[in-house]
Amino acid sequence: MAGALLALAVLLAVGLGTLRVPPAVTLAAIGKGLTGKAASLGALERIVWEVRLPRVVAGALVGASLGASGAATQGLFRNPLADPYLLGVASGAALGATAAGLVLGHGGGAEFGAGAFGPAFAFAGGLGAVLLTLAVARAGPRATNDSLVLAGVVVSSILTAATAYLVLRDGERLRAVVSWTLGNLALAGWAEARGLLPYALAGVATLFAQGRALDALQLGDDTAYTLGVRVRPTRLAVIAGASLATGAAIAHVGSVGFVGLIAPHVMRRLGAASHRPLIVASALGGGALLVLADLGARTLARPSELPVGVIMTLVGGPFFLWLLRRGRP
Amino acid sequence: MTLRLSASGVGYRVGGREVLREVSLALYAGDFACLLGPNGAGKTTLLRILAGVLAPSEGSVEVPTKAAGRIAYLVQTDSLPDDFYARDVVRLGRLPHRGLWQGHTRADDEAVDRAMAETGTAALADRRVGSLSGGERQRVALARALAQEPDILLLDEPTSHLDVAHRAELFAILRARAAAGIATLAVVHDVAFASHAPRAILLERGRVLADGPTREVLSGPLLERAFGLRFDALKGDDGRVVFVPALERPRGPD
Repeated sequence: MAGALLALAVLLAVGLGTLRVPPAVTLAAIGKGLTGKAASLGALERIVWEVRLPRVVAGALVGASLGASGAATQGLFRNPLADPYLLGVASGAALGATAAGLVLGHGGGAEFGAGAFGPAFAFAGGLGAVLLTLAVARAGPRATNDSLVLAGVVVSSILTAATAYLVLRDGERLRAVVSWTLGNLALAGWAEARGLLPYALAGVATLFAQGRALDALQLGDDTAYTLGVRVRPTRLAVIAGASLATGAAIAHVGSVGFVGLIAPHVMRRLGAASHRPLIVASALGGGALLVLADLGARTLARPSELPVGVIMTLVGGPFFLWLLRRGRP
Repeated sequence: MTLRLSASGVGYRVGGREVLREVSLALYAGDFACLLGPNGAGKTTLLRILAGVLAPSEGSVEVPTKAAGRIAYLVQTDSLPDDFYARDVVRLGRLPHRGLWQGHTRADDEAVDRAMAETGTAALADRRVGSLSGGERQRVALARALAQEPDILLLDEPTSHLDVAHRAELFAILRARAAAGIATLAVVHDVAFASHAPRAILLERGRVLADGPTREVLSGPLLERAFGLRFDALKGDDGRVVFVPALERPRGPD
């Protein structure tokens, strides 16, 4: 069902815009593009294949990475608020990508961050940040969910400040940097989509592979251990998978919040509980969510564009609050 | 008798405090023992060490069968995921049997069905855990442990949320499983119910005060010594003697 939602979101997002494209043209363009007949594309089909579709695909990959990462980290920490952003992954990844873009003077497709070193730096930054969060949370007498969230907030703030410092040093590119940190798909083309694909696949596959171990961890570490789950390796694999997927997404399009909170939350309500179906559904649902949010970013303030991160936060924040208020299923 | 698990000279220290000292015990196939003792006596720590979750500071625990999942451990603090359906939770008991990639087999489904029928949770199968009462959750958690079809069953206060009828049912289940060859050790606070188990182990300040047939271990003097409370002996129609705590401290000098 989440798959159908994603397909529908893709068709809608490709079809709507300054020019309306009928679904049949979209499908024809996708068919031709995928079979390598891009040369024979008509004018409208060319818009689909060369402009709108790559952006939609990049958005879907980012959304899928964030959705699956959120579902897995929430399972790992048994906390419905523990998405990678809350654990500091996003701010660490942003710092890594900004460092790659500014300090190394690197300029990629989406201004910077998206270059060859962007995803690697973002991954390293994200992983480093979440490990720092865990270390800070453990420094107290007992690592609890509360101390984890508090540590994540503190680490995030510090890293965000560091990113801001780096950014402000370079006044010339300030606008581009700010637009990128707000989360922006406007410059996403096939290069970004191709760059994201391996990270998204590897990250989501890593998380999916830990699905059953995550299920067992819901009964507590002790019980999971007696069920044959190796607790520490599981924890590391989930953190690494989530950092990889989230880091790459942030490196390419900047930080987009709330996808990792909303997608798993909605999927749980729709009936996904065990982590394998939940991770897959959250990936598909997260993809659909971000594609639709980007459609809004592209069309709401025409002719100018809003960063998709702004839309996601403006719409996602209140929506998430509403979900929380409705209580448990 | 087949030895299922043995602990010899187990000690456990944390932050200079001695939680367990020189604990030795053996569980055989068909054993059904209750572990009793005051709060802080080290019951949960002992169970965790026997389950292999915690390494003892001294001594050792031997489990002859090394295969995964031979020990089912039911923890004291209820930690079931609210979003899960009851059946999903029970199915987790099959995890050690099918690994991380194999699908469910018919044997898995049968074990799950049997455990849920036995614990009276079959009707709850499609309910979310979050919508269950404390007692219902506890029975679902027990069904998970039973679905594991272990050789050894370690239960930490499995009766705490159960009403009297369900406690009686639990004891009937555990007796039946013991008869089928499982070795069971259950932490139980209810002395009256513990007297239904053939064997009792009394733990006091990290040491085994007594270990043997229930009618010998759950006797007035030993209970008084462990809990510092006077117990009245009541004789039931079946001749079983049950000790009921009085509210006063024991009489005499102390």
